[in-house]
Order: sequence, then C-alpha cells, then structure tokens
Amino acid sequence: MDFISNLLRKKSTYIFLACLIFVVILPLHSSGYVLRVMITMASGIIAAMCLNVVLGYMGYPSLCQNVFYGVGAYTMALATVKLGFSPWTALLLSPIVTFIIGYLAAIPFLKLRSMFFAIATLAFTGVVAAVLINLPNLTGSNAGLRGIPRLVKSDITFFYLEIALMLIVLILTVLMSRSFWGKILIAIREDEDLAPHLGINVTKYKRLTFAVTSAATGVAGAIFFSYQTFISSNYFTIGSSFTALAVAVVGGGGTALGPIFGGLVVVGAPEVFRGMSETLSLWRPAFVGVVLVAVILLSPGGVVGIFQSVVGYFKKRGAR
Amino acid sequence: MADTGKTILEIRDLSKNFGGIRAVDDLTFDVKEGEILGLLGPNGSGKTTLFNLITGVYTADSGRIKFRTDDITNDLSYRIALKGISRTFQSTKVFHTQTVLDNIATAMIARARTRRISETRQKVADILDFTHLGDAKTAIAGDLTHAAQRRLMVAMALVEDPDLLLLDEITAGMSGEECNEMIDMAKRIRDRGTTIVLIEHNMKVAMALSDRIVVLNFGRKIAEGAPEEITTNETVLEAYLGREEA
Repeated sequence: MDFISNLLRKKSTYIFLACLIFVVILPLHSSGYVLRVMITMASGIIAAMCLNVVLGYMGYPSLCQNVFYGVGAYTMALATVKLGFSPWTALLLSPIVTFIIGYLAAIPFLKLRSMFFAIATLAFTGVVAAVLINLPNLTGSNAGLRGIPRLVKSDITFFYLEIALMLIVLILTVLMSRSFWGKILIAIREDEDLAPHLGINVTKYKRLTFAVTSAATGVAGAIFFSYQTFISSNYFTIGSSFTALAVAVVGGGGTALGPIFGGLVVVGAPEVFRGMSETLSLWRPAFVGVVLVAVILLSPGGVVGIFQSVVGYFKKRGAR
Repeated sequence: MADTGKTILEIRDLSKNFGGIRAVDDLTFDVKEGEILGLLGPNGSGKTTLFNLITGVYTADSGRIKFRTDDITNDLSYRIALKGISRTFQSTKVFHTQTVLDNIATAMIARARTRRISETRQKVADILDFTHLGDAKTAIAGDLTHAAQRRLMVAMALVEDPDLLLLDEITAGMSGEECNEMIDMAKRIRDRGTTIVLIEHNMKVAMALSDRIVVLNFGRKIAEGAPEEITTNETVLEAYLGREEA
C-alpha cells in the first residue's frame, strides 16, 4: 500500500498516465500509414528496451539484438506456415526458442568484453544473416515466407498488443533496476573484476540476463511479423543490427524510459521524413548516424540525460 | 593477538607458473585464526599472485589451499567469497559512478539477499561508522579522496564480517596520518574477529600490524616468524632489506 500511495504522490505518475491515455487514444484517430509507423516504432522500442538492459545496466554493447528479434519472428513464421501451429501457440514458442538460442550465444560471447564482445556479436549477426539467405527451403531466403497468420485481426489491436508488451518490459525493467538483480548488473558494469569477490556469480547473471532479454525481443519480433504476415532475410542484415543500439544510446543507456525516447527519434522521425518525400527517406541512415554521433559527443546520457539537465536547471532556478 | 592456535587457512606446496616464470614456488604456510599475518617480499616476489590464487582469480598448477575444512584450490571466486574470504586490491576497486551507500548496499546484497530492510540499514550504518565514511555516504565514490576510496574498498570487503580478509597494500599512496588511521582500522577489524593477511610495502605499517610475518622472494618462502625475528633474519636482509643497510 505504501508503494501505491508513494506513486500517487509523484507528479511523474500522472505524466505517465496522461502519456498512456494519449497513446491509447492516438491510433483511433490515425491513418493506416501512421498506425503502421507506430507499430514498427513500438516493436523497435521493445527490442531496444531489452538491449538497454544488456548495454545500459550490464555494460555489454551487443550488436546482435536483431538476431533474437529474427529468431522470435522466424519461430512464429515457421511454426505457423510450415508446421501449422496456431499463431498464439507460436507466440508461446518464440520466447522459449529465443531464450535457448540467447543462452547458448551467451556462453561464448559473454567471455569477451567491450569492443571484442561488440565485434563478436556483429559477426554473429553476419553469420545468422548468411544462414537465413542460404537456407531458401526453410526460410524462403530473400523471397521470404508469406501467409503468416495474424494474432489479431485489426491493426489497432496489434498496436495495443505491442504497447502491452512494451509496458510489461518497462515495468519489469524498473522492478529489475530496483531489485538485487539490478544492483548486481550495475556492479558487473562498473567493475566486473571486483564483483565476484563480493560473492556475485557474474557468469550466471550475465547469461540469464542476456537470455531473458533475448526472449522478450523474440516476442516483439514474433508479434511484428504476425502483423506483417510476411518475413524475409532482407530484414535481418548487419546494418539493421545497429538500429536497436542507436535507439538505446540516443534515448539514454541505463534508463528505463530512454529507449522510448530513442525510438521516437531514431525510428519515428525518419518516418516523418518518408511521409514528406521518398527522396528524404533515403537519408534515413545518414540521419540516424548524425543523431547517434551528436548524442555521443554532446549528451552521453541521451535524450533522458538532456531532459534531466533541463529539469535540474529549472529546479535550481526555482530554488534561488 | 587473539591467536587460538587453530588454522584458518592452509597453503600446501602451492605453485603457479606464468610461461617460464615461477611466480609462486612450492609455497607452504598456515594462517592462524585471529592473527594478522604480514606477507612481505620485494616487487615480483609473488605476493599478489598468492592472493589471486587464494581468491580463485588464477588456477594453481599444483598444491592445495584449505580454508577451515574446505579445499578451495581452484574454486570459483564468488564461491570463495561466499565461504567467508574477502579481499581488497592493490589498485583501488570500487563502483566509481555509484554513491558510497550504493557501493556498500551492493556488496551487502551480493552476500546476503534475504534480510529485513531495517536490519540491512543498521548494518550499512555500522559499516559506514566503522570506516569513518558516514559523512560521505551520499557522495559519488569516484569523487572521494584516495584514502576514502581505499576505506570504501575495505568497507565493501567487510560487510557480513568475513572470517578472513586479504588486504593488498592497503596504505599505498597514503600520507602518514592516513596510514595511522588505516593501522587503527586493521586492528579494529581483527578485534571484530576477522583474521587478516596483509601485503605491505610500508615496513612501519607491516611491523606495527603483523603478529607474524612470512617473507617471499621469487615465489618461495624465505622466512617466517615474529616481526622482530624477521628484521634480524640474514636471508631476509640480503633478499629484501639489503645487507648494507643492516
């Protein structure tokens, strides 16, 4: 009860509720195109939120987030199209398969640190991309797999499904950051050599965190490609592996809300350009690159960092 | 000295090679419960390597390490820590971007996850008081003075009262006054019932603190005994203190 009364006393709770109501009402008055952009954005944000736990809290710059997004998506596609499972059964399967792949990938990769880890995970993305292209009988390669059944009929319900998953991931991230698990991840990020001497089983927590976040990313992938009804290897290139990283970094690594802001900037803004003109949309990668470099140079805390600085400035002025 | 005569740590025929270099060479000695054992030796004599072998950072090539009744040779670092062996490091290791309070809370949470919040708060307050960090509890660890960071590192090692504490050059880079403060703290830690093994280059500190001293040279034990015996030991003088100064 203390927890709830504390929440009710905070301004941020009401701001969050207002945003939530806005998000719930928004699709009711949106065109099909805008709704599609929002579903794409929500899906990307979930992947970035999961990466944010690995990158922001644990300190591991993973470049294979889209592999797990893809594993979840292909589990949905193959289980429904090839094996004839219902989409909801496939949705239950996708986190299980992704968890297993994530855990197995964690065993070799998490023995590496910093840029070596980043390079290894990037190479992993390359290997998976090659496998997807070179197994046409299974994955459909570039031509893809069509006819993935939809989990729900309307696009609006798909949007709400993504928002529900986003909320679950957000709440779990906040709870995790306040629990012993969060403290342990921060300890690993801050000094991985010190952590075991405090009694932390570093290997166990790193592998579990990587696998659990992979599983949640897999669910996001499964939902998105069920919405799209089509999947092909073109979605899972080395280049696309940077998007989740850009969303997490631009939003603010190690903050629960960061990826949401990052998603609005990195995924949302270029879509606005696309709406203006097709030529402008070709500049999307350049836009993402410039924003990423600008954030790293000017505000390493990302959009959330800028927001906190502005709030801090006005609080100081108010106190004078 | 609260020596009960009971052995808490047993090192037997321990060896570790790095390529062609024999960093620890057939080392055997005991640490008695309740004592402060000083580990001396010139640079590169294998003192920190020995700490790394005891705490599972390195795997031993041969020999045995026994902590109370447990064989902990080549065990994992976190398991050794949970058995009751804590350590500090030559170069300061704390969570630099976190507050002092968060540093200690993390160390506490890592060792004991099931405890009432009120009890944890009391324990944190005790540790802060014990290490004279109470006034700096909300400060970011990276902003503390060198001496305060070293005290914080000790505080993190002390949570849950370890049975054995390994202090690696805990007074490195400190002024005379700060050294004295650290000597006092080490004595108080022993009085809480923790056995201490310390590596120390500052002879004044080593002599003031140690009940017994083991001297290493090229990974081998060359002397063992009370501080006054060590200062007059011919082999030690030759290898470490230097014959001319004697």
